[in-house]
Amino acid sequence: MTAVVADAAAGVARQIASGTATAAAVEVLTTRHAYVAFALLLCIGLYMMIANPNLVKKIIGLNLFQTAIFLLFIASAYVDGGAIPIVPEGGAETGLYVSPLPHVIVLTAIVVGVSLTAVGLALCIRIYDEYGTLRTDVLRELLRDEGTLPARSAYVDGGDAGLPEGAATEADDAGLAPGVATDESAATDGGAADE
Amino acid sequence: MSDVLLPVAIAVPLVAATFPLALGVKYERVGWPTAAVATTVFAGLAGAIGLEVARGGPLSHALGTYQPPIGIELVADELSVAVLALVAAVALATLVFARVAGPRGNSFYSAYLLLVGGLAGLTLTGDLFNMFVFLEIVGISTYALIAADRSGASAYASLKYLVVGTVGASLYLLGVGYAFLATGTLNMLDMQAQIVAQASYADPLIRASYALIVAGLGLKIAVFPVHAWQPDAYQRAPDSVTTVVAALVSTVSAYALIRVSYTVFTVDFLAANDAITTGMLVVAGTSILAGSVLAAMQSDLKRMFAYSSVAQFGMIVAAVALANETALLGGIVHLVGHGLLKFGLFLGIGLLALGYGARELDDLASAARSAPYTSGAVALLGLGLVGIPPSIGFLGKWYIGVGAVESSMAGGDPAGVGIAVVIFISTLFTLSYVARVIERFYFAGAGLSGGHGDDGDDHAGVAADGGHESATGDALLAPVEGAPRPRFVPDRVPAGSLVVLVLTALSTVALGFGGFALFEWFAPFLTEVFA
Repeated sequence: MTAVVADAAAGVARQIASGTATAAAVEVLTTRHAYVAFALLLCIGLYMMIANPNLVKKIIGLNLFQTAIFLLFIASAYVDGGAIPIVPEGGAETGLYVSPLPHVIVLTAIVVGVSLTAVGLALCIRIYDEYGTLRTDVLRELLRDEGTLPARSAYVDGGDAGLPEGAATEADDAGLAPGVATDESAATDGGAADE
Repeated sequence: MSDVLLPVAIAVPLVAATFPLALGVKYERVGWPTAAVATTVFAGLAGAIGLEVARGGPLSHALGTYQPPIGIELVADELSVAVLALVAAVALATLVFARVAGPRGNSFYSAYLLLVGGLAGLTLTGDLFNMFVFLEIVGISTYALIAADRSGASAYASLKYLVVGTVGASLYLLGVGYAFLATGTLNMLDMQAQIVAQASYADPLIRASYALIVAGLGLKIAVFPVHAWQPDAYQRAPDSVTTVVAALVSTVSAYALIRVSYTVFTVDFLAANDAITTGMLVVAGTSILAGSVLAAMQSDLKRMFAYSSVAQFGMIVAAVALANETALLGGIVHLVGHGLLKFGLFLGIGLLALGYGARELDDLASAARSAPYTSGAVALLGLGLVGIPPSIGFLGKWYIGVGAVESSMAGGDPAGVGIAVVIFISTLFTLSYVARVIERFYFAGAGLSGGHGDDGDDHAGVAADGGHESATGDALLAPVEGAPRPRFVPDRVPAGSLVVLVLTALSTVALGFGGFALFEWFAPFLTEVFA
């Protein structure tokens, strides 16, 4: 394993030395662009799901994530110069065809993805009807007020008390997430205020 | 010929799932009867499959007469039959409870049958991509069921589960894609051969594939760092949904993990990739500890046992990663046993909530005085969860622990002993929260006169000072208005469900006595896997 890494490192070092690293990168980008796009889409989708507070945008992120996987399957099925894999009845089964199996897989996976999106959006509608918001940070506060989520722990409350009285109440009044005590919710607060 | 049972067992609930919706246009209350008939037929088929496997060894069926490895294969061996039997039993028993507890409505029963069909398919499939499809059928119907009571909180819990669960299934699909790229096949048995023939156990593509599949199924199983969806989903779901979801959905995902690890990647792959198994053991160990600690901190009963599931599934993942015959046997026994135990526990909690309107531990003071049979069954199941013999909960944990120590002795790897220690610690935590439940049920002393008991429930406002002589009836658990009144027992819970609960509790004990029979039953699978 280490030998492989060392080999690869040596290879990269050689390429940099000979100034071909850029050329190699360009080659990967031009010949393997589908795989690059796959990795990019996957990461963008995942990031969107984690970082975006809007529930519908989370679902869009989910769709991007799934689409990336479809792209991987389709790209893997491609055969250079391959024909459409339809063999006429009685025709010779020789010749170069692209692999049909990944296409079938992706078709099925698309159907699954569509159903998931439908269920997800239906749930979003229910949540919006109930709470009038789709932002997770606001939603979490509403659930906390409702008593559905456990209240903030004592030490966080202690942190709250340490803050200037006005700041905390102001945030409360604005109806934004008043959790100014933790770094995380402070960050989302900032995000909410920016919008 | 008997292999045709396999597709029929999957098709019956899936096809029947359309009836409640279709007939619902014309008739009002058609959902429950349809579901009852379809699930009974399904249970009969599952029993027939079990008999066939017991008589003639594993069954396999080529769907649409396309022979594997091209076509999709359905397989029933000893392991899948055990899980299938669990699915059938729990699905049937939950219907008894759903009849009285709701949610009512035809669409609920459609989703319920879809879930049962998906679980059956996931158990019986012999094809990796087919497994993804069934995983998602199970997923989608679970999301719909969790949100079935139309409250906002359950919709939010369900959406959380949907996002996490879909990422899990997608990662699984990605892993299958990598394995497919390396081997060009999707049939499980064929891939097992092709991984050796076309790639190797050290191939990065194969390694990445296994890692992605484990990560994906780990999200579905809810092991510690990615368990956050699970307590919310279990707690917010309607009671009858929690019983079935807690007993089956994660269980069948864990079954998928065992199947993929041992039938597709084989024990040699696990032995050749220490880094992966060590990683799994660390995650599993953390999961066991964190789940137990979090469970001990809860006061809501459903949430408590939801966190306890995180710990128990950590043990099963550990059993998979130990790659040791004893541990795997323990993992399988615990898989089935935990499913039964959690079914019973959530059913008991649901019954108490239905009859007495209480879900918090504190509100259930001296529940054993007003509902002796329900409390007794819950206490019995709780002790089974701790692992007190002779319960099946003991057998599973015991074998996993012994297997963990064995693997350490054999390989000199300290991880095994670590797992055994963690299981021991987790057992103590489990004891602590189950003991809290039993203490509340039996020893809280509400309703006793003369200062007996600690009259600890501050809600009732019974003053502890000054020798409160007349601390009678008022603190006793009061049934909700219109609670059913069964004929032979004082419990104010539906009679049919109570019978199911007591039977479940007794069967976990009976299975605990059947340790040797279980070993015999799984022996063909284990010898095949560790050959």
